[in-house]
Amino acid sequence: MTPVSAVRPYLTLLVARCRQETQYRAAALFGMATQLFWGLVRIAIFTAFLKAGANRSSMSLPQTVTYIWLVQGMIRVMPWSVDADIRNLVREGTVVYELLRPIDLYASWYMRAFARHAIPTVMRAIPLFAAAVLLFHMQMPRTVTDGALFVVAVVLALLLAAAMSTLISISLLFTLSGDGIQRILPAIANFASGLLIPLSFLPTTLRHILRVLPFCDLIDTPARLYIGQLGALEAVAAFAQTVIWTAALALLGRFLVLRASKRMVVHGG
Amino acid sequence: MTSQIEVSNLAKSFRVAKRATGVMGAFGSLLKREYATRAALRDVSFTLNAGELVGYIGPNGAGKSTTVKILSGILVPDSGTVQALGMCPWKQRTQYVQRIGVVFGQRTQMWWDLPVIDSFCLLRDIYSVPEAQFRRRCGELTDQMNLGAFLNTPVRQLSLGERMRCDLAAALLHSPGVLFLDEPTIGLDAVSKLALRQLVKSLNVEHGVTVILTTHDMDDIEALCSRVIVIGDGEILSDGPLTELRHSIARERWLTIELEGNQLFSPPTNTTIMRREGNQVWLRYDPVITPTPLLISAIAATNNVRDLLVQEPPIEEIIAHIYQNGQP
Repeated sequence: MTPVSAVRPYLTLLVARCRQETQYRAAALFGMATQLFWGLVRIAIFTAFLKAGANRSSMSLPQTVTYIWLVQGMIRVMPWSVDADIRNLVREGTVVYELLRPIDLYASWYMRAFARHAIPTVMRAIPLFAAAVLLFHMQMPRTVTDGALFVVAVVLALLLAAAMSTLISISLLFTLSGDGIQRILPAIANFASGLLIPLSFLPTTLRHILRVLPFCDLIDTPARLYIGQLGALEAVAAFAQTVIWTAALALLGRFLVLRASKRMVVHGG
Repeated sequence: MTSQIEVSNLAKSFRVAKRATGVMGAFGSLLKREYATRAALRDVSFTLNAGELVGYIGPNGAGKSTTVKILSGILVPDSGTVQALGMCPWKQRTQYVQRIGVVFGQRTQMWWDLPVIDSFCLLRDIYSVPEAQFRRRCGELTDQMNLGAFLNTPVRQLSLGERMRCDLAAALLHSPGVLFLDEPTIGLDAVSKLALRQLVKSLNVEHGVTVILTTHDMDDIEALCSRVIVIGDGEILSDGPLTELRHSIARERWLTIELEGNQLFSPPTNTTIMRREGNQVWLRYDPVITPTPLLISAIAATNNVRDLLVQEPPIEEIIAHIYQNGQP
């Protein structure tokens, strides 16, 4: 088999899933409205906080405002939820057909997860950033390099998010419901990614710990690149960290798929 | 003929969590879970030759689906071996499934939101079917299964019969040499059933596809299968041609007698009356003990007979007999 034909099934699945995601245009529009509203609320809170003279972080008020808009636009990068389609496959036992296809289960679920994060993110982020820049004091990147690094960081964040998301899907093969993960994970991820509070505002030790964990690369790293807080060397280090985490989670996922397919039982006719 | 699938001493058991009933039981199972082991397959062996069309039947929970799942590589047995198409299904799964087709009657492999043809195109890429071959195959299947009218309809809007035909076509797009059908006619109307049977038959005869069919519909078996494997409680109860199965149990014959008027009728020796309704009498007898010609002439001599009909018991009766007694 040539390399091209070996990759084709996965590309097909990716494209199919992307097309499915683009169907949800109304959801993207209303999602964006919600994010705009919450963005304004959060900006009001942070403005009050910073104007009271409590700012000991490295971020100025305009940078903080921009950071908040970045968070609002990138909210769908977050691997919050269980893929409902995969959960149904597992609960109804139709997952057998996934195993009856001559393709790698991990890779095909990964493609699906990537599309599930990438398309909504693009559909929401671009109009939201446009609105925020025009109306609500979001800054443009200072240099073209900052902008380019931000784009690279977002792509890497999506690859990482897809690895996390796939891991959640695989956990369904063991737990069947995924309810537990669906409750715990957002709480941890929202905090550790900088989504609730920019990590720069956190105490030094905690910040150092969180910046080693994978969650910071979902939101905090791209956002800091955008507002120009990272030098070239730091940027490379951050990218390396993202790639290493992605690879590690993907390996773990593959290992779990292998284990699951050995012990999986699909009951009933 | 070469053997294509060799199954030897397959065994598989499942662990089922036992829950005590009631409130105390619920608390108890938080602390200590008890598991019961249920053997789905005990010791199953058989060999299939290329081009065979085999019926695999048994009561609910006998292990039919478990066998199909193991043979299609998605379930790993506790012990035993399977050699199919020169491979071990669960060890070389991706390579193996490229060459088999599977239809589970109760599930669909089509993409719910997509038009049928889009699902087919996805499968084309997943199975790496060359474009020219795909177009020819898709055309053939569309004709044979009459799919033309709803190729562009989303799967969620199809009726069960239409969906089932699409599912069968979907399983055949990559021209598999072995086809597993797990209750493919479940819930179908008479027309859809006939269409499905015809297609399976022609696949088997014209393309030499080996077919394993599990079903509860004995008409499927009578219409299609030359060989029947009966499984009960995880063990093979009988394996052979349908006619042999019939004869092994039931040398029994049924004789329906239509009498002139509502006259008295006493059964000849070695026969029993199964039922009487008005002037119709159903008799059961063993043709070896009571040869049919003798029985008929005896009845005709002593009664005023309008009509006679000799039948073999329906296949359902025979199968039910095996299920209940555990052996033919």
